[in-house]
Order: sequence, then structure tokens, then C-alpha cells
Amino acid sequence: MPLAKELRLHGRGGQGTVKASEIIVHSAVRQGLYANSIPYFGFERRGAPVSAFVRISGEPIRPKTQVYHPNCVVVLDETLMNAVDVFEGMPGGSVLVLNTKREPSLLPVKAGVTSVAAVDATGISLDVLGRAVPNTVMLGAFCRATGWVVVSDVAERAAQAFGPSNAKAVMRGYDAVRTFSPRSGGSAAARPSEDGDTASIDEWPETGPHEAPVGTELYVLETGEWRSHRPVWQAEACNGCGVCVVSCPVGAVSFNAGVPPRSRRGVAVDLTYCKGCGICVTECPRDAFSLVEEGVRA
Amino acid sequence: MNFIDYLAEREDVLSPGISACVGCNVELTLRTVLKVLGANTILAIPPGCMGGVGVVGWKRTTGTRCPVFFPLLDNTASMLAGIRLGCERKGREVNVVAFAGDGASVDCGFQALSGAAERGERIIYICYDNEGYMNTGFQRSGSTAKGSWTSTTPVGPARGGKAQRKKDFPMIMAMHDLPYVATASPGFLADLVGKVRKAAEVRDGMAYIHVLNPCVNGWGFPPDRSLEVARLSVLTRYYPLFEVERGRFRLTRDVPKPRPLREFVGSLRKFAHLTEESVADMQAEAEMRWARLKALCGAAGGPDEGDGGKVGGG
Repeated sequence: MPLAKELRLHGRGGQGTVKASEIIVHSAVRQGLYANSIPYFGFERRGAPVSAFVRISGEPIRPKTQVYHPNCVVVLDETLMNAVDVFEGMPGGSVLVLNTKREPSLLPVKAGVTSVAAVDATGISLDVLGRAVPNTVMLGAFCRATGWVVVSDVAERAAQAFGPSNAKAVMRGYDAVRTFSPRSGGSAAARPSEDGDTASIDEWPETGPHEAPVGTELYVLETGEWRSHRPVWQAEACNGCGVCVVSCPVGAVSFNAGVPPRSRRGVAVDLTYCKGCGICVTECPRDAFSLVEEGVRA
Repeated sequence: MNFIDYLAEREDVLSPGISACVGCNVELTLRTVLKVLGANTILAIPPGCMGGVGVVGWKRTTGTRCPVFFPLLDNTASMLAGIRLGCERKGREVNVVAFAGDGASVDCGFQALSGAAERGERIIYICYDNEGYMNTGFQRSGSTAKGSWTSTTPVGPARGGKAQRKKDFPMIMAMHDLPYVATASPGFLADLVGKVRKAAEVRDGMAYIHVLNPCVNGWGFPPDRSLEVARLSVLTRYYPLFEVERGRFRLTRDVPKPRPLREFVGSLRKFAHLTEESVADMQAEAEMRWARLKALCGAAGGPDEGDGGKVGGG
């Protein structure tokens, strides 16, 4: 029997993505429905892309797997769309709930999405909570966009989990949603392969016992994709001391290429790997760095 | 040459793109250690944060430009002892290095570590102590500070975090009478660099370095303050920086006028529930440990003021 509703949430470690999925489950069960939630199994690093899955149904739910064909996708951080295909597997008639300042009609959505709900959850959470933790605002937006769970239950549960101001955040998110229905929506997105692991064992290079050893290639992730804020360096303030060069955990700050370290004319940040932690900002003795919010590319 | 120029010129042996948390100072510690030791190193990293973030590799890749092994949580030191023996048979001179968390060192891996230390195995053993099993969701370890919130020492009406004290583990290792034992901090990188260089020169047994690494998520502070919190742990006498060379104790960073421990404790969410009384208890314990260390420094006749931070005499 097909499930009533399946949902996928995308966020970054630290934004409360998994907790939001649990709140949806609590609220659904309270309404007499069945529900389960599964966090993506992996290392949930602060700032790293994370996801969580929710099922809601009027019948008992047997599947305990990840959700591969979500009827609704909630994106807690717009910059994730640079790194992750948030539309993956969405069938026709799906709902996208996005944390953005942009107009929903201007958003690049893929086939399958018939309804887009946009809310400036970061702005609202800064206003209501004083911190950029958008999860409870996004829960409100999700309730409004889908109507699958009752917003007052979600608000109550959010208050229990995080304190009363989060109930307010839920309601603000509910009220502030802007929606749009793309005309091209409705056709199902291509169904991806379901084996999950893209490199099957058959694709591994054949190596005999006397050939090159395993592990000769470097494991490298483009961790710059995690960044919500970007360091900006001001040449005028810098005296080239290099504290930022040795303090960057990622090793992304270096003396300018071609200049011997001793002459120290300045530094450069490799944004391919910079995770935007802000250590360079805090450690710089001359305040030559500042953090600016990372925009959405393309 | 000062330590910044020195580090800027060294090869970065660690991959630039490993999935450590934003602001993780263990990543900085490992990166710095490997810059000092160079690529002629064989690493073993047991399960823990640095194993989990891709350093030990994934799908026929490795996170370092040197060989890296992924031993079990409880056998890192024994495994490296065998690797050292193999290298000696082959006539290969190489740094044999453990980079293990507190769980894999002070708890699960202790028998292997203590045994290898006692047998005089020639290993550089570096413990990154983030006071708990942070990779798996912040469970308490023998190195978690008293009063800390962890996921297994919750805070509520009945309990107020961990009830037991933190093992003084560097001291336990010092009592093995190793050729070299030191404590270090990512907040004092020059000091760390100097100590890793000394450890690499040891030829007749184990060199042990203990690094206190405040954990952004497990301890609860903003990522940009990662090194500041590490410095506060030293400047409040919570975590003294010292070294023991063949039995001679020496503070490498004296703290004659400590900042109040409240400054360190107050900056961490894991201690947010502590009363003034509990903080005073912690302060008393820190002072007791400091006094014991000072006595040992005096007893060994070592000079108190150090140049542990200087590299290459510069």
C-alpha cells in the first residue's frame, strides 16, 4: 500500500533539521496519524549538509528506509541548493518549502514541483529568537504549505522542545509564507537509481597484489559548499603577520602566491575549502577579516 | 625563523577537504602536527572524530599524503608497535604516530597505550582530548570534566552533569617515566610545534603529547571562538602547559596571574547549569592540580620559564 505522504528535509548541521523532523512526527501522532522519522545516517557535522526523512500516514507504516520520492521537500538553508540536488526523486504534484528572501516565482525549480512556498526563516528567527536557527519557522511554513499537520500542535511541541519563543517562531513562519504554483510543474522527475552508493564495487579499478597500493589518491571534499558566511580580507588593515595562515583549521588561508612568506604582502583564502568558521576574523589582531553572508550562486 | 614562517613553508600533509565540523580545532591540531612531522610518517587514527571525517580514507582514497591506518578503538598503540617493528626490519626510518581521541586513549585504548609505554615502543602518541566521545554524539568519557553536560550525563532536577572528576591523564602518562611527555593546546600553536619537534627526536621509547581540544558542538560555543576557548583553558590554570623530559618537569607556559575559572566555564554551554559553588569546587581542583604540578617542577629542579614556543632558536 502506498504511503500517504513522504517528506525530506535538507539543512545544515546545527540548524535543527533532525529535531524539526521529530516535531512533525510528534504532531502527526498527536492527531491520531502514524508517522516516523529517520535522520540520514552519516556524520552530522555542524555546517555540513544534513537531511532527515519523515513519513505520515493514516495506516501503520512498515518502511523504515530513507525517503527516495518525497511529496514535499523542506530546505532550511537556501545555499544548500549550490551543493545538493534538493529536487532529487520528487514525483509530480510535489511541494517545495524554501527558506529564502527571494520571490517564489523567481526561484529555479525543477519538474515535479507544483507548489513553492517561500519564507525568510533566517530573518524571522533572528527577529524572534535572536539567532539564525530557522527550523521552527520552517515548520510553520511547512504546515501552511501542506496542511498535513496542525500548526497549533507543532507550535506547542516546538515550545516544549526549545522554549515558548519558538512557538511564536512557528506561527510567524506560518503567517509569512508566500506561495507560487509553477505552470510547468506536474511531470515526474526522473527516478534515480535506488542503490544509493553511486560507485559500485564493479567500477573499482582492478589491482593485482603487486600493483599500486590502495589509497594513493587524496580524499578531498569541496567543503566550501558548507559555508553560510564568507571571510572578506581587507588589504589596508593587514600587516601580513600570518596568524590567520596558521590558525585556519582547513588550511585555506595562505600567503599570497608567488610572494615569499618573509615579505608578507598579504593573504588569500581558498573558498573551495573554507567552511566559514570565522576563526580568521576572531584571531586577526588587526581586524583585517570580516564575515559576510554567503549569497546564492546562479 | 618564527613559527608562522616555519609552518607556512611546510607541506600540508592533510587533505584540505575533510569533513570536520566548522571551526574544529582538532583539524587544526592534526594539520599542524602533520606539517611538522612531514609526509615521512605512518599514522594510525582509531575510531573517533578524526577517523570519522575522512582522514582514514573512503573508497580507496586517504585523507593524508602519508599512509594512515584505522585501528580499533582499543589497540592503536599495540598496532603501531608492530608497525614500528616492521619498519625497523625493513630498515625504514619513519615517524610512527598515533592521533587518537580521549576515548581511545584514556578509556578503551588505555591498556594498549600503557603497555606500549612501559615496553618502550618507539611511537609518537598524540591524544586529542575533547572530553568525550564527540563523534558519536557527545557521550561522557574518563576525560570529561566534572559537572559537564554530556548526552549520557544529563542535567535536570535529579542530576547535574558528570559526577566524577576528569582523569589527570598527562600525569598518568608522565608516571610511566617516558623519554618525553607534554601537554599542548591549539590556542598556543608555537608551543605545540616545539613539542611535536621534540617528540620526533625521541629515539628510545614513546613520546606522548596530550592536547586539550575544546569541542564547538559538544561543549557549546560559537565556531569562531574555537582557539580563544582553548587559550582560556590554559590562562585559567584549568589545563596547564608543561613538558616532562626524562623525568624533569617544566612549565612551558607559566600562569602567574590566572584568569578566574568562571571566564572559561561561563563561555561553555556544557557548564551553563553550574552554580557558583560548583565553579568554586572546580577552581579548587584546578588549583590543587596546579600546585601538584608546580611541586613536581620544583622537585625536578627544572627551570620554570620556557622557550617551548620557539622554533629553530628564532
